[in-house]
Amino acid sequence: MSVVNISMGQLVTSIAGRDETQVYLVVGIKNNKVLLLANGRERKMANPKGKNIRHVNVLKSIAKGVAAKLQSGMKITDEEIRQAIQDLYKPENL
Amino acid sequence: MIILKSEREINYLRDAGRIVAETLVEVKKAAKPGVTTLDLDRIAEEYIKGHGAIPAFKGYHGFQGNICSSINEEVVHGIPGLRKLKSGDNVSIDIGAVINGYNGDAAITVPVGEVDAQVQKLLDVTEESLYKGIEQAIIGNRLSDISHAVQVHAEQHGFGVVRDYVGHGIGRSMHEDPQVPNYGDPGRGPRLKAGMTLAIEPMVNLGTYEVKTLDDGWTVVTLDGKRSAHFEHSIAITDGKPEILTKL
Repeated sequence: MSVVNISMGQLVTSIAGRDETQVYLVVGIKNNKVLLLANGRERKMANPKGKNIRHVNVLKSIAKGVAAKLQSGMKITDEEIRQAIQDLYKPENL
Repeated sequence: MIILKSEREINYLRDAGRIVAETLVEVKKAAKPGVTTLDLDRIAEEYIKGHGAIPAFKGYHGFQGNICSSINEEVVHGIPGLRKLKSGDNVSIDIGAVINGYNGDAAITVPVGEVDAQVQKLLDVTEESLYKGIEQAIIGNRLSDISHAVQVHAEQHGFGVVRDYVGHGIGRSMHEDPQVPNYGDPGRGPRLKAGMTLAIEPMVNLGTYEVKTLDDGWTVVTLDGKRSAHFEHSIAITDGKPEILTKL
């Protein structure tokens, strides 16, 4: 059974739970099952939200700058996360 | 984190893989016009449970079937139901089984009755692309060498390679790291090592590679409604050639 193709820095929206419709960036993936999500506001880099991979809608956009920094182990600020979401999250992504 | 398996663990994966392969043979035999996908699901359930294993998909994130059965334009994750197969259809059967805590996962796409030459070609090329990918699963290569080989073969024939769903590592969990895409440039990603166990699974479309998910939350279909095929093997990377765990 195949898995959803999700990369670091991918833009996702929550489709289940109290945070439904909330937009996040993927900042970590645990065993192809649980995503670590941050939006730089309620969920900051210091405390990303763990969420089941099936409880998000995967959008087509990836924050490439954020992804590159995460992969090289560099620190990302919440401001960068907020900015990336603002740049990427447009209705035509849906 | 990619979990490397010991020889003992690979033995357990062989057991699980063998049951999956045998179940696929049984289901393939039964995939004839007039049979429902739920009938196929029952055959698989009986075979898997009859051999001391547990169907891996049932209840996985709430999935209702023991198998995934995807007909024609359905790419993957079709839920078995009362739809009857008819001549000319192609049905993809994806099966997972757990025994001794280890998973096997494999898929085939079967022509039902007589299918168009174009559909038969799609099935042949998809299966060939799986083997092209497996050939690259050798020590020293990188993960995306597998992905690239699959993509090149399928696209040479003018088919679309699905991007939104990918293969995966396999072991005590059905889905482990890494993700195994069926597209991409060669020479990227982690270097392959002995003891890595992967499920490689090209999903190839007659038309566009784009897909969407139906309202049931599971069934993935092609965006243009054209046919799709899916073949999968679980493999282990060894010191020599890759070992296919789900082949009889």
